[in-house]
Amino acid sequence: MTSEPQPRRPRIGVLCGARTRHGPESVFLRFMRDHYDILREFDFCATGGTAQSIVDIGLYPEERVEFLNSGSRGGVVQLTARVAKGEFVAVLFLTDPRDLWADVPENRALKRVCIEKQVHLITTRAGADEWAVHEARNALSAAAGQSLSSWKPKNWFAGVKNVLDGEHIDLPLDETTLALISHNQMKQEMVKFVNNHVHQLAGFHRILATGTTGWMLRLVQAKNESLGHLSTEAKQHLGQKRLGEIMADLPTVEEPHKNQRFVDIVMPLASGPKGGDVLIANEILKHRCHKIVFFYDPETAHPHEADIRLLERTAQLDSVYAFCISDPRSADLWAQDLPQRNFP
Amino acid sequence: MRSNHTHLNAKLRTAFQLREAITVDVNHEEDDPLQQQHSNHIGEYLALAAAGYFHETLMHEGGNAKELQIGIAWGFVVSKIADYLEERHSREVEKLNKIGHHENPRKRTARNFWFPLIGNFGLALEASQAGEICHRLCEIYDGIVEPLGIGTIENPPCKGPSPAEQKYFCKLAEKGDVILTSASHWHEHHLLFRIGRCSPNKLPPVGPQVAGLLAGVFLAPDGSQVPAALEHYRIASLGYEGFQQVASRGRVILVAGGKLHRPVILAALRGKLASVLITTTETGVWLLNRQATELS
Repeated sequence: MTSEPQPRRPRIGVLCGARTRHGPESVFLRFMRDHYDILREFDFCATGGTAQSIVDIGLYPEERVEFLNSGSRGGVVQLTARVAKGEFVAVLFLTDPRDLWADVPENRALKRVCIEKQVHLITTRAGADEWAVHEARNALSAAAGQSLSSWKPKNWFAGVKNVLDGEHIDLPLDETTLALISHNQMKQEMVKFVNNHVHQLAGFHRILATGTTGWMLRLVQAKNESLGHLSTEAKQHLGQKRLGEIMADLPTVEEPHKNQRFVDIVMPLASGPKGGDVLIANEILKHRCHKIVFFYDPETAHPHEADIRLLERTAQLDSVYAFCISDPRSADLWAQDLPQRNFP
Repeated sequence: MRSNHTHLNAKLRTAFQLREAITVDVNHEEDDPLQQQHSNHIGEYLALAAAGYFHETLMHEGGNAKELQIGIAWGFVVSKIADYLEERHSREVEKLNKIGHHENPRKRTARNFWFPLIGNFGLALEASQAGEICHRLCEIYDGIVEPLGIGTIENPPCKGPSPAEQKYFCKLAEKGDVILTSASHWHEHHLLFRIGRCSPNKLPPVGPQVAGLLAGVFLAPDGSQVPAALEHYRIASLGYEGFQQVASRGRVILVAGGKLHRPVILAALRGKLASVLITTTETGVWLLNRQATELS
């Protein structure tokens, strides 16, 4: 009843299929009403239709509910990205098996990232009841006073939007964000691609990358004087073992051919299996990532296949204006045409 | 007091064989017939939850191909529900249009009836409120909810429905799918006396033998009907059996709470006059305890 701004509380991510929330006695609505005494202690972040259902119940103030896009317009991507960023204490994901959309890659990615990030994933009414009765209070106490660990790399800065009011804007290179993603055996191809075109790529505004790829590219292009502290930073993110593996495989680049600006603008996010692809997809959805060079390895299995599909499908949304190159030859041809700029 | 709503709502559903039970925490459970703001305070909280449930019911049932008949009672809570539905309407026009087939107004599938509380002694205030709620709902739901005979209400001083009209409304009401009503306790300051100036001789005596009334139907604490000569005042409403019929077939949504309202809520539930209860947490707990005590 009050509209005064209130402090942010622990949050629950919510995604519910239409069948689970339509009808006054539907599973979701009944859950939200029955457990309102504990659930009102939380904030909610939900995809469009689900968020509207929460507000329509009448018991939860609108300011406590963050409205994401509808599921078909990238809402699940936004939700999954928030899981990857560690924003939720739990995710309520109720679907009816009869819903055809229930098994789309985005939903599978959401489940996968929840498990990866060890966020409590609730997928049944009984599980929801159990959580509300036995675990919600613990989740509240655990979240009290805890601050979110940042998902952003140290050199993070925001990108520029290339869609405003639904209209695409042709951004100059120095306002354009590029994403570099490579998997398994294709990582070496990515390093090769970057070494061949580093001076053109350094002209971008910023370059997002999944964890290992990002660190590989930074390390290979880092000048000798900065290699030490960069290696230390990489070790913190990747671990000693993984860093050792990377360093063993890295080709040597002559010092004069290295590009420090490139090192400065590459932002390694989480690694793919830990949600890195989802974080990049979220930037694409926000119109802040415009070009994607994505070297997918078709010869190996990927534990985060759903995330990869999610990223591809996000770039295909009609509200998004982003292009994607997925093989080294096409990438080479494209990069050759990029203007080369000299940086001090 | 903090109660476990899961168990409370589920227990209420089981104990009174309800289709749905919703309990809402309010800050003050006290309600005083002479200090209307206390009841109104409770009513506002209940109305929020009730508006959500009522709206979802219309969306769900109205989306089905069947004809939907909706009954709206009168009173502060019901009026407040209409307020909240109006707020919701402003941002959900597209969604609301799903109700009924509105290409052809003659073939609209949702119809409305109401309980016009009309008397010869100045009950026009109550009556016009009921009429106004219907009228507003009609606007909210894009004219698909069509109030019947609203002209008789909007032109006070009116004589109210004739006995034949009363009979017609009653028959129509008995076919209803969804009825939204509140309940009031029976006391010497009741609106029927204060505004309606009804004769105490023609109505049941105030005392423990009458728990209260549900849209014109007087109830004893055990849920049975208390005979009353309300037809004398030309009040058109469902009868006792009418409520039971609709509750067993569709939804009678009873929205009421507060200490003074508890006996009439219990009576309505015992008489199986409601199938959906929206009340306060403390009232919910009281209802369960009272039922358990008396059964044992």
